[in-house]
Amino acid sequence: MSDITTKMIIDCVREVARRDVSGDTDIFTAGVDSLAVLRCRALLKKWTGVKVPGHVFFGGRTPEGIVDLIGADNAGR
Amino acid sequence: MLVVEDSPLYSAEFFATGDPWSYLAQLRREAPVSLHRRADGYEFYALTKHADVHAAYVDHTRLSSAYGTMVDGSYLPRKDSASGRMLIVADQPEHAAIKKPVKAGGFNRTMLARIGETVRRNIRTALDGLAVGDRVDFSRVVAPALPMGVLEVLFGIGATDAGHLLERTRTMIGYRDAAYVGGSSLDSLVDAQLEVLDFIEELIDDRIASGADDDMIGMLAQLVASGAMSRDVALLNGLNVAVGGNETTPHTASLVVTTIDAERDQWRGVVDGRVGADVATQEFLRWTSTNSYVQRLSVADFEVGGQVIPEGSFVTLWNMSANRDEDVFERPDEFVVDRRDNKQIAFGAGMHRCIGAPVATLEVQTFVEELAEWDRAFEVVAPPRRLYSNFMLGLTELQVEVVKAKALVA
Ligand code: HEM
Repeated sequence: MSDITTKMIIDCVREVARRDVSGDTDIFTAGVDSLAVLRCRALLKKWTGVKVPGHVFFGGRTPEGIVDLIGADNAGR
Repeated sequence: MLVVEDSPLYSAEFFATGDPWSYLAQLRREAPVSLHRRADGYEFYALTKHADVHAAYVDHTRLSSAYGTMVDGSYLPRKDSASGRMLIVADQPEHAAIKKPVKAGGFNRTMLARIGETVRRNIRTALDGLAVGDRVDFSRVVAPALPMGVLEVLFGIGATDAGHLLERTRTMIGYRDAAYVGGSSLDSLVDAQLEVLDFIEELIDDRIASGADDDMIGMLAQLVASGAMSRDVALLNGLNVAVGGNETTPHTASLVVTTIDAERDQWRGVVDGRVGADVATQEFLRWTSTNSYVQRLSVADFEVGGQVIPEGSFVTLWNMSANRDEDVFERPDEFVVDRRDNKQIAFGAGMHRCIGAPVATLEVQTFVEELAEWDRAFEVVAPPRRLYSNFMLGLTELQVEVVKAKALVA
């Protein structure tokens, strides 16, 4: 899962929610909702083949936080 | 007005281990409209009388559903992104526009007939698989047979997929209950919700590709294809129906079984055919009141029960209390299997009245009919475990032994 980068999260938020965010923006405060997460997840899967569990979005909250959590989830497996 | 600090109505534990019925009966007698506070500042008004609950249900202009229908973490009224796009949290005019196609596609006569057949088949299969002497957890082994057939028909899926869908929605509603989920509960909630949405989205894409519109999901898919409905709205309402359908009737069924066990003499009337299954079903619905309350937000001052609830307040409508109101029901605290003119309000009232009410009634009645015909019966052999929730009244464990029918009603 480590191929998912902060930039990819930022790109997918731009694509699905039409919002420009930076690495440390809380994407939910910026207007991302469950359906946007659904779309974002589908995009990441298309780009990398990896299906990211939903809770890392809600737990990580910022693009950087999300990438950190993906790494942590991965390390724990 | 009575103000209750640290109210037990907030406490899932109170509903699982205490006696909410008595507490609500006391409120009904002494303070039919009351205010309940929590330490963090959240507060809501509680309506406990049948007449007040009904009046609140039908006042769609002063009471809004858009701020959520469950008492929740955030104490500042806040809409979320589903508001106005999903039936349960939509006000007029959006509500009517969504309800029309969902009702036409999922809850018409033909659908109801197909659902009835499928539900009966599933219940028979579950009961036939049990032999005298078997000990099982009814809530896991038999109860899911009720909503299973509904999912199969509305979503056009097989029993295996329906089973997966059931498990996921169960996690969503019961996420605070350790019996339903392991690990971090909030994580399981969001993962489960996304899985359900993913699944529904796949179904919609399949139906758009095939053009089939002969079930609810197909009908929604064709509306998406023609541009009459947005994909998000179709998804959210597919989710609403799946959750509403799955997380209610299994609990009702479990409580039907404990009620029969406790009221064997009355049950004999149904078995003998002296009491119609339809009449008994209404009383089971009143007695179990599976969905204990719903919440609204007052968007104007709202006068009820001789009190004025100010604009901007959360208001809770207690179905379970209304269903035991002494002004409406004789012997309200007794189960009366042949109760006539039953004014139970388990499905709510007004424009949000449960869209699945005919389906739920059919499920419960079919279950009652099949139990009455069965040559075996369930005997409760251990104290059931109640769901940790103030919103759904149900059981997460119900140990029963299968006995000969004659052993229960000699
Ligand atoms: C015994 C079983 C059930 C009970 C006690 C129950 C109870 C309720 C209640 C009280 C409401 C009104 C909510 C409000 O006013 O805010 C409601 C709405 C709803 N129910 Fe049920 N329900 C049951 C079964 C079902 C089934 C089987 C389905 C679907 C197949 C379903 C789907 C829904 C939906 C989609 C809504 C939202 C309707 C709207 O807002 O217009 N329910 N239910």
